[in-house]
Amino acid sequence: MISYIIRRCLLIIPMLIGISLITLIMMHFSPADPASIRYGLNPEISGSARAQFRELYNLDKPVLIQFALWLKRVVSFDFGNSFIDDEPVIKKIGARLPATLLLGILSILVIYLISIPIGVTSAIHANSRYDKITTVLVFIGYAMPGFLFALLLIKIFAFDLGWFPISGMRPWYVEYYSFFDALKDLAWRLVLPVASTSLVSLAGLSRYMRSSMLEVLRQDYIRTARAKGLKESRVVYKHALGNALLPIVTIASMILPSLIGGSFIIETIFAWPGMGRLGYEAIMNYDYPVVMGVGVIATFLTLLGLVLADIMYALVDPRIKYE
Amino acid sequence: MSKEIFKNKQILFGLAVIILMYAVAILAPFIATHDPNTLNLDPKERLLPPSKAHWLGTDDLGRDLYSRMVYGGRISLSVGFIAVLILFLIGLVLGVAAGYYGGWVDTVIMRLIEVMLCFPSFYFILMILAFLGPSIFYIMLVIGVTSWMGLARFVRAEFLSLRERDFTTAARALGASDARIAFRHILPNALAPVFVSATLALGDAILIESGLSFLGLGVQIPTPSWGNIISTGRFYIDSAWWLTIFPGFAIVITVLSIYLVGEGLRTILDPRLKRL
Amino acid sequence: MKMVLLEVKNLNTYFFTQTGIREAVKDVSFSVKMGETFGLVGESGSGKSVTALSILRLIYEPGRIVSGSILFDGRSVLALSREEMRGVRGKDIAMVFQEPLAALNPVMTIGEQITEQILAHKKVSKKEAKARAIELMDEVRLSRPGDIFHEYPHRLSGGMRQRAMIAMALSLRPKLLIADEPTTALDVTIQAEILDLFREIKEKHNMSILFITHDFGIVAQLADRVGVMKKGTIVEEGSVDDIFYSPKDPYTKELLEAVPKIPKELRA
Repeated sequence: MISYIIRRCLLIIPMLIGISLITLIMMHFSPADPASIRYGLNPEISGSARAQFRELYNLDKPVLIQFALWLKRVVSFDFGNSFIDDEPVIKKIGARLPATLLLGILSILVIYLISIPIGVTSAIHANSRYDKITTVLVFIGYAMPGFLFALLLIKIFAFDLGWFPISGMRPWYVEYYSFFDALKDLAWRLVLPVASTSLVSLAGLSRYMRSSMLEVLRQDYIRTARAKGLKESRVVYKHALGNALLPIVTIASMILPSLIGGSFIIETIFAWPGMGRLGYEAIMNYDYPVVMGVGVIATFLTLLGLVLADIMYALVDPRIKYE
Repeated sequence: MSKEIFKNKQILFGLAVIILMYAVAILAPFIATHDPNTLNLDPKERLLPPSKAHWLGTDDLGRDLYSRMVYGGRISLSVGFIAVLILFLIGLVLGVAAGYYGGWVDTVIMRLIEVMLCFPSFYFILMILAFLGPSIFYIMLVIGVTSWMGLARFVRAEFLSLRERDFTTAARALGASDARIAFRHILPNALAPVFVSATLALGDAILIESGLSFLGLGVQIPTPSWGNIISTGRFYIDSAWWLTIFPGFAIVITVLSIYLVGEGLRTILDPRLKRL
Repeated sequence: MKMVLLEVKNLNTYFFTQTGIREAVKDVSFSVKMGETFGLVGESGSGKSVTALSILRLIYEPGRIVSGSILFDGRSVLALSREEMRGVRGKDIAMVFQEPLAALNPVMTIGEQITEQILAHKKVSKKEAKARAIELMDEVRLSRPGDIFHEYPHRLSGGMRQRAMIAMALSLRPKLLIADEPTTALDVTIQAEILDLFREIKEKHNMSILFITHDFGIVAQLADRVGVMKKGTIVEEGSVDDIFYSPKDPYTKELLEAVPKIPKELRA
């Protein structure tokens, strides 16, 4: 088991190489010069200052050397400083990551709370009117881009009904709130972003739950359970669901990274101070250190998610034994 | 089996919509009412709701929404289509190689797939497009290059199972070469479910393109794309709802139809779900 | 004259599929007396399993019991309510299936699967149920029942799994035990052991057994009476001796002929 985890973790090496390579190549092909970004076209910054800047970031060295130096620093999570405001990248990411994680974790909870019952009931009443209607609704959810749903939610619930705020996570006045009031304010602000993030995965997961359940219900051991005279509820909820949930539970840790990866659209729309938006803005501003930093962290989280998923699967299914 | 396909209402509906959409896109120059790029900064002509003159209203620069949407459809649909072509080719070749040859070829390709699946692909697409410049060609290429993994895995799985079947052994016994066996014998059998996978990928590609255009890293204004129309319309969402609703509806119904067709085909083709 | 325990009369079970109606069981009638072992023989696809499942009303869409009557212990099975039927399954009529690995829930322990059946029908404590389960596992010759109680099905051998299924079936002392090809999926030597087990059960509990198989050899060893099925109907029925020594139907004769026989010269 341990050796399996180690093998999985080894994947991080090609990944780091991959991300760094891609970003560095981009940097070189891109029309924007990092030094210009940092200092703008400010004529007062002398040529020597720029030269110093270049030296600091090894921009004058050949690509391969830059690459190796970069790798060395990445291993200690040192991504350097942002080109825009010279803040350490790690610090910037650290400040924003919790907001993204908050959104992501809550979304997963919501997704599971809704998808599982929908999937299970659709499977039990397969091909009924209920099933057909939920299938259509689920498909529409699949087909709707996240940003569109977010905009619709904002239009209906924020503009027209005024129930929820349009954007922002922490208004300036929150400092004056008591702890509980601040919490309530946060919860209120979370509703629309979480709903938007959940929508897409909701559709997929409930579908998956449904097909997993259908698959299990066809198995021989379900027939045996009925032949033993067990109550139908026990057959469905203990025997069938117990087996059908296995793959569903394990992909939870894989959904989280994908939510993080796709979060920047939602974060941009809702002005949510998360890592995704940080990355997006960094890309738009050619702030390479931040871009790389966010990319590495996001990839790392994905890998973590995959490993967690495998571990969970091994824990949950008695048949799996990783030698 | 084709009988079943054509009797399935879900598939027929989906196909109908898709064909309609592509027809509109292809016939765009003939069915647009205005030139999609003509600005009309006269305040009386801007942000007009749907009317007889402008079927779907006008946008913030006085352009006719209907015409922009029709041309936008062209872009969105063709980007999706080419992207899928690219990912289909990559995925097919790699999947076949992995499934058919096995051994170290398989291992290398599988590792590559795993690594690529770990990347937050949307983020990477954004990055690459921002740094290289968001031309339509790059968009298609990048979407294709980051989405082939699912198809490849699927192809490989099909190959692995079909490789051991009797007809393969028979062909080999008759002296057929590797490539011939792979392409003439195995592939046709694996093709149907793989085609389903590609169909679903088309839906995803269109969604990705609309997301990119929305963020400003996809199709660039003034060239219309359903995604970027929504992005400009975003700021008028309370006053000019049509700028969001109509392109949004177009995206949803197109992708929905694609999924309906794909899912419908999958249900028919899946032998395990065979109704007795 | 022994009493009739199970009487099946003109049973019709059809499957209504997209490609047509499959008449799996057509006008089937037979009876099983108390303490008797009835062998239902036939090739695969002849409708034997569907008959057995019909008796327990375990036929689901797109299949349906279309007509006929099934009388168990004097009561009509088809007229029972769902709840009453549930009470019969596992308690008065129990069933053992063909492939034990597929028929046992892979994520529940053996012990749990045995005790849950007991607990479903009898108001006893979990401890009592566990004790009874261990007793049963002993009875079916499962060595180290205490350990096996906590094991998962995939960790046992095929023979052990089948014994576990038989233990489950016997747990509430059913009047009728239906065994659907219980040895087909097992190795030949294990088959012999399981058949011995069935013989023991038969003698010890005087239980009625409906034994389904395609193997005439097994029928010869275990059955008192035999029914031969072909394409959904019973073509011949009679005592074991009658069927073996004076088969009347040509199909029966064909089946008997197909059993490989060791030539006289080679027999020990």
